[in-house]
Amino acid sequence: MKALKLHHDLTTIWRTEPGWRGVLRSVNHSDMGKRFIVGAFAFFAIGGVLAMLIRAQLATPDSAFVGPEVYNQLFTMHGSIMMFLFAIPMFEGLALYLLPKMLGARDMAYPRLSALGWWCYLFGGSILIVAMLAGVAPDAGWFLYPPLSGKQWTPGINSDVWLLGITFVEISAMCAAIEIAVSILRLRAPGMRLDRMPLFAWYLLATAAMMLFGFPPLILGSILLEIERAFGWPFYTPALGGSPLLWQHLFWLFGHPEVYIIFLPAAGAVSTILPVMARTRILAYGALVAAMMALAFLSFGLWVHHMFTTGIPHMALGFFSAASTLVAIPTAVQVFAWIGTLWSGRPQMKLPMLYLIGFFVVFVLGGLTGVMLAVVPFDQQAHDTAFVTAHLHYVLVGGFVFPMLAAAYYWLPHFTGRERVMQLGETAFWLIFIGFNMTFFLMHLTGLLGMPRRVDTYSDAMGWTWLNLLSSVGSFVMAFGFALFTIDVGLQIWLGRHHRRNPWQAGTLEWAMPIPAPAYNFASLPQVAGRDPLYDQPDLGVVLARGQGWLGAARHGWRETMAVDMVTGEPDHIVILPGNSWLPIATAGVLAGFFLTMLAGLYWIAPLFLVGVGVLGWRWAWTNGTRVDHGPLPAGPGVALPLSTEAPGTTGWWGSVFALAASATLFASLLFGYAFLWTVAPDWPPPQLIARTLLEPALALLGAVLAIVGVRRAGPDGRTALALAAGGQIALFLALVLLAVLRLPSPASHAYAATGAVVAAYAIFHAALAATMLAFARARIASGHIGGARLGELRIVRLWSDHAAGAGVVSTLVLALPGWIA
Amino acid sequence: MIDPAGPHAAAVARLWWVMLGGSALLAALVFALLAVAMRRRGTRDADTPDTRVWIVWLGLIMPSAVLAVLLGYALILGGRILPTPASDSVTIGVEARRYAWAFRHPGLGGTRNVLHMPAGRPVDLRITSTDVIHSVWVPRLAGKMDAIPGHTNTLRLVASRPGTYRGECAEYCGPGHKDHGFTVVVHDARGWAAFTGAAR
Amino acid sequence: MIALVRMSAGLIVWAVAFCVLYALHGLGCARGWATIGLGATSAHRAVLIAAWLLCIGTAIGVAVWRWPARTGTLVERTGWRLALVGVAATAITGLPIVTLPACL
Repeated sequence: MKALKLHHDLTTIWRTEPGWRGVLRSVNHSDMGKRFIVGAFAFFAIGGVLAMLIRAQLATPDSAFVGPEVYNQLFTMHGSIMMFLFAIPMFEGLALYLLPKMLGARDMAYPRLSALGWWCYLFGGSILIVAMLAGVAPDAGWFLYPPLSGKQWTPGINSDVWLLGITFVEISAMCAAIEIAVSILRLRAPGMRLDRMPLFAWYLLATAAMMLFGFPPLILGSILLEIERAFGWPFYTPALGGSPLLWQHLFWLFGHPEVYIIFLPAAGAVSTILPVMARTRILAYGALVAAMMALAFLSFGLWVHHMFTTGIPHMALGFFSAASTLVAIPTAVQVFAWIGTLWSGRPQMKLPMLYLIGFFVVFVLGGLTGVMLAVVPFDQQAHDTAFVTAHLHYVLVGGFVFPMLAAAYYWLPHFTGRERVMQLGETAFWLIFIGFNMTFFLMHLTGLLGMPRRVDTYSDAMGWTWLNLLSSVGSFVMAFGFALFTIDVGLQIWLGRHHRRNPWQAGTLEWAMPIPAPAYNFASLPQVAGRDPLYDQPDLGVVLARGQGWLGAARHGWRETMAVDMVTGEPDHIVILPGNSWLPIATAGVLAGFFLTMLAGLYWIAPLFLVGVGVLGWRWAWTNGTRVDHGPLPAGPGVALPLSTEAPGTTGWWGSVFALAASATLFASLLFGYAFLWTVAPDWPPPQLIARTLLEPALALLGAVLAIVGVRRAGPDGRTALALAAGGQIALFLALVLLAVLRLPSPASHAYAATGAVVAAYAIFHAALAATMLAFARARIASGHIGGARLGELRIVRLWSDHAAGAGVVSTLVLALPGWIA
Repeated sequence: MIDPAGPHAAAVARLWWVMLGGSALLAALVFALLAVAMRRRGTRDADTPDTRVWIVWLGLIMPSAVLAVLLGYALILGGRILPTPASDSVTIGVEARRYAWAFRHPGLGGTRNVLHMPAGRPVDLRITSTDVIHSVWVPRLAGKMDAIPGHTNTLRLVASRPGTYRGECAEYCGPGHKDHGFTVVVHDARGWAAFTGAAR
Repeated sequence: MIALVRMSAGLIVWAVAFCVLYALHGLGCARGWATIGLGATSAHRAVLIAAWLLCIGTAIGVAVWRWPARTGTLVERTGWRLALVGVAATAITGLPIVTLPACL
């Protein structure tokens, strides 16, 4: 009875409202996870259809199926959709759904941010698809090299659709990265030390960290290219001191880690599913953690291997070649750890295992051709040929799609609470596996015989005809396989018989709840003492449902979960999460307004939407917190813990740390770009440097000092100190605006001035943001939200203010120094 | 690439066959281990698995050894095909545009879409572009080198014997990308003297 | 969090080393250091070798720092292993400095 009442009470607090109101206002992580997965799958289908069109065109020589203009849109959209609208959102969805459950928590750290990420993904992805249907899809390749993608050679909005639409979707990815990192580090079940965490969580932690540092270079590069196209500021135009190579560096600085960002979550799924299929524990948990961390770091040193033919000196290429071969070692460690796990267990060829076999075969082959491509002289032959297309599909389909298919079959009973209907999955596997290899295995040879990438047709005299025909036939076989998979999944979702819990006899926490999962996951949170809690205590699900764990009560209508110490898993404080809200969809809608007005060329109206985002952001932050100190509250067996409003080191604080790390990475990329252009681009030094000046640097320094001192002196009644700090930020803002507008030459005149203006803009943005946050903090003191023991918001504002002060000083120095030295 | 007509291309082709052989062996090893592993019937809490064999020997030592050899081979071969100063080299200018190639032979006027070069001597192409990024590629003679506006890159071609070879544009440059090939005519010593003399 | 940074220290050294070597190489080629002789080699290569050795030394220093951690918790043991990875990776990444011409 107690379990039923608890279930009822918790469901009332955590549920999504019925009907459309619920759909638009939901912030539940299971809802968001499922939406991302379904959305990703829909985009996969669209990308797949585009692939069919590509193969239909390439099946025969001198094909007139589509002309080059359409073909260029086909392959650009196929790549962009698969990389940005399928792969990343798919694992984001899986992560959002699974992580809280595996970690023994009730939700992710920022439920409204999860929802915001979903709506940004939906709206941004839709912009791309609508553009495609309107015939103005991006057509300069999925990595959009300028000058081809620049205004002169792509005068239409095709490139802008990519730059704006994909950046919109990346907001979603950045939000997810921050949230995943914080949730894994803080929101776990008590007792879940880092070394008791499921490997899936470790892999996603590494992935989130990679996203934090890997996406900002792309975001920066995209912003610069869009500014160049819209306003003529020459970052990539050699005639005015820019360089197309800058784009390539920024893009691949993102692009290489991107493929490991895609692989690691799949490897996490493999590490979870494989031991269960082998009815044993994973072989070398510690080695896998070390290997994935090594992979995460090393993958950032590979990016120039996409640029081996750009004329960069060979010694530099050698650094990247060495790192590219090195990265195969942690990959090998993981592969052998997995095979060793099978070896030491009793593997069963259940359906997920079949797909994992497919993963091993295809991914290992892809890895081997990858090592070949790491060798510079060979790559200089194979680069930009069908060999590379074959390699990338082997590693991406092998390393991501096959594990995701395995994950689909493994976790579908959890999503749906039902079991399979027909034995279609095995047939689907063989069609996909055979079709895939038929399409891409021979494609290596096609490339070695000289067929370049991205040609819309070829002549029969080249000798590529029968190879392309076989590839095209293979692709249709593969498509049938995916269609069969879809039908099989659909049958299970709608017609499957309801199933008992834990059909795989797994040991991880997501199976310690009724399936399909309740809105609140766990009626009470477990105390964890090992890596496989369900093996240690098979009736854990029932025990928790009775409320016998931590936080086993519904009080004040609060959505509660537990924050623990990052490393030891000791319970630290109680987190109150926000409930259903209009804010996520409203904010995404206003952001869509910004991106659409930019796309339409209405550059004076677009900033108004950003102001709108700021207003909504204020409202968003305002709904947090309380006006009273609650003191420690009962949290579990004889333990009382503070609320997050009265605790240091909150999820909000850590989220700010990670967001600022990402922002700093963007700034560092910008400074790298500046140094790169100064050293490598033609037509430097520029005809005119910044005017020599002392006023603005002095003003900036004064502003920084005021900001840093002011924010430190602000206590529970620090309105004056906060005003001082805000004044400092305004001084910084003014100093940089003056530098950029009065002292710097016109940004459209040379890449030097353009880059300088963007350096100033970065610091201007942060100063404005910090000033707004300081004003917010003043208002919160006045309203009583900050006071007593509730000082967390002050700590957060201090982070942003300090960052803005630092960025302001660095920007001012970077800009003003050439005026003094030259 | 697998039908080389010059020493550098031949060295890379040889490298390819070695890598193919090595990869086939490694793949066979992994798949064999996987197949045997799938048939195992050990008990779950049996003798603790020998982690060291899997992680240290197979995961660390074996790949490190293989990759060390490969990296050494790669760095040495890479150094040998570089356009290091040579007494008998010929320098030819290349300008790429959408969708044609302009070649400027030493001391001569330009040619369009046909590159003339001597056999048996290093030929250094100085490559740039006037519009978007293209790439010069003569698969049977050498790897490719991008033609980037605002930059000049150098690519060394060496042909073993006279003949006619196909050249491609190997960087997507727009709707005319597929029709952006060129021809390479390799002359013997007498033919080259005639070409450079006659065109003067 | 500090524990995680300590765990990654070896790899962080490699990442910094990579940036330093790549930046020094690019700067040197742009400024013509390869044409300045210095003993048996060029100023460019000498600077690169010095930087490389300094970075390897730092990586070894991190490994020495993490030596007592090799018998600790998993996070600490991983820090020791990643310190070793940092030394190996820094050494191997810099090999081209001594095997290839500088700016071709």
